[in-house]
Amino acid sequence: MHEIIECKMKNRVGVLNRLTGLLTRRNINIESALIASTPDNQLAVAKFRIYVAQAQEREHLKRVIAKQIDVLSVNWCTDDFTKNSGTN
Amino acid sequence: MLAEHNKKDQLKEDDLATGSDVLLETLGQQGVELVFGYPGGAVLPLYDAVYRQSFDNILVRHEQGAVHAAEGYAKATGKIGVVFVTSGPGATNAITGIADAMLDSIPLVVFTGQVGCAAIGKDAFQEVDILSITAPVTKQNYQVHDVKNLPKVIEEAFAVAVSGRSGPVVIDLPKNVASDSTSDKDDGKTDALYSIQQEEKLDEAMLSSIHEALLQAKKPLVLAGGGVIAADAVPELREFVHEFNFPVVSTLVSLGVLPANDSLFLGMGGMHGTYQANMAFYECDFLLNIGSRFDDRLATNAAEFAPNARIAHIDIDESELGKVITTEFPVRADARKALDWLTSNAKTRTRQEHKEWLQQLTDWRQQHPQNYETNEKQIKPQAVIEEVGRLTAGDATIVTDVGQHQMWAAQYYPFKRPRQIITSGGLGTMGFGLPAAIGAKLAVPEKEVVLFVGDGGIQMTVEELDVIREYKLNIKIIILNNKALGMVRQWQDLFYEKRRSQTIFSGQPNFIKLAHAYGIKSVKLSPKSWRKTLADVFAKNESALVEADIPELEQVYPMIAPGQPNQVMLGVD
Ligand SMILES: Cc1ncc(C[n+]2csc(CCOP(=O)(O)OP(=O)(O)O)c2C)c(N)n1
Repeated sequence: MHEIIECKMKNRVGVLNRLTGLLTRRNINIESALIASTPDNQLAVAKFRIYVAQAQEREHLKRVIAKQIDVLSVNWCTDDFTKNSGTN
Repeated sequence: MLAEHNKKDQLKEDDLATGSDVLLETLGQQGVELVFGYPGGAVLPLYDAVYRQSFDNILVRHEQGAVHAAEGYAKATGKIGVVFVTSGPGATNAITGIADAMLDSIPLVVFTGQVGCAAIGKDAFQEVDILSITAPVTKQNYQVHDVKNLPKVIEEAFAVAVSGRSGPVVIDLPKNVASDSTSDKDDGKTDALYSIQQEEKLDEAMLSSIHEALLQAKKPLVLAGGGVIAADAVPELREFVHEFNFPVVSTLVSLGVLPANDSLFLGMGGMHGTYQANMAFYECDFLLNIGSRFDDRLATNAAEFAPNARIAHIDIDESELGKVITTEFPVRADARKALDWLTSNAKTRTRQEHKEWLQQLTDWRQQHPQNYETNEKQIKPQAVIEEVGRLTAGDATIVTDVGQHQMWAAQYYPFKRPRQIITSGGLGTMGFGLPAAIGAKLAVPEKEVVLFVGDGGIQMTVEELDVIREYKLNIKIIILNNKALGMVRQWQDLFYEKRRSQTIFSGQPNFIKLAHAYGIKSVKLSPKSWRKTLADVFAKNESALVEADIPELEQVYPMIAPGQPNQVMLGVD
């Protein structure tokens, strides 16, 4: 299933490295990403589009991301509007 | 004792405090009494402060030893282990220990030296990107760029290491930060940092469903993992299971959660667990897992694990819930709070006897007890461990390395208290034992510390014998020598048609003389008089290295072949 993860996190050096490392370790490719910091530079919001094969794996990944010390919140939505885009 | 070990030179009044002084001061405020470490160029300022302040630093002989010693210290006490290493090779030598602590959820704060801020990224001498290297094996890591942030970062690191599920934290300390003066230390403008998340409320609805289901269960079973030890919830667990009459299986790292002789204790489960524990997994109709992560050495075949049971899982780390085993009743909670809740609700109910189920478990135990063939002409490793159990009244802190001896120690030592077994569970790190024993002894000196180690593993961190000599630690080191990398040889014999590739040593160092070279008394056991020799060793209040030549082809049984379900055990008669 294609997923979009949206993470709100502390805007500090290395936080993205930690996050993408969690995906790398699970052999998950990032299909697209969008990252921006809040105007006060305190927080960053990152959106990733990824593909996760199994529901159980998705649930686990979600929780592993959520427990990172610098991650404040995670939103996760199944990217169903790309259903017809031909990618898989 | 240790304070006198270093020469004292008081910090002169007119010396400006440096980042390193602030660091040590902050450690003091955190209650740190000693650190394990090894100096080098990037930590010269830090070690200068250690010298000036007479801070207790246990000088190991290899940085891997520093981290394992800190782990032993932390496992024996529940306190945070602290490590100092230099940049580059000092930091990379620490990685194995950090990864070990990550997998076994051991709280550590590891300070790595770093080249000065201006040199970072320029391939400076002894520069490595330790933040990237340690990211996957730490709970969190930091690099400090401004001395004024140092106390806050350290406070945060200590809070992170023990909050929720414990784990290792790295603080990378550029040399200039360690030596910068701190006159402008507190300008009140330190960066806002992490605040520990508020504990969530107990999911009482789910606990109450567990409670109901448990009351209905005919064959209930409790799996008590390392989380019960980490949460200091052993009294609560014991009260709970006795209140309800629930049999208990432990994991490797939670041995001691119930005393070995407790009638409700079935022993360790998993690959080399007891017959009754593994059969109980298969037969139970309700499994309550508290603080175990269903590791593959325990739930050897996740798909067929506990096939007849409804499963409840209580864990402080939500990401463990449903990770490998589908769980009907998941609860994210501190083990102690959850157990307290379950027990106080239990008191209002009638107690279940579970007579038939407990009888079945007893029958299994009697039909297939943990046993081995005795042979008076040989020294059996299992017999050595049982004898040590008697000599120490089952109360020693048992440290192991990794391999067959580790499993025999787990099977045959009569554990009775939490924090009694100190072993590398998740990473299975050979070389862990000797330094971990040092940390455990320094942490709780009044307890006898016994290390069981293989002839392979001792050679991985043997240099730490010098620390035992230097600090005159009383540690009994027992080498169970099968002249092989026994556990790997066992797998080759069972699954690779006895092709013993690279697992038999053609020659070995003389361990007796080796101990002698390190100034440690040593003795080799002989098949005739080994019990007497062992008794003599334990009668003395000093360290000794004891070598026992054990049968070279001895196997660890029972064994579940990898991928087989728990009820399919080899070597059960
Ligand atoms: C650092 C490391 N390297 C390799 C292994 C793989 N390994 C697991 S057990 C074992 C054999 C250990 O031999 P020894 O220390 O003699 O103990 P024994 O099994 O004979 O009791 C090996 C090589 C490991 N666990 N750790």
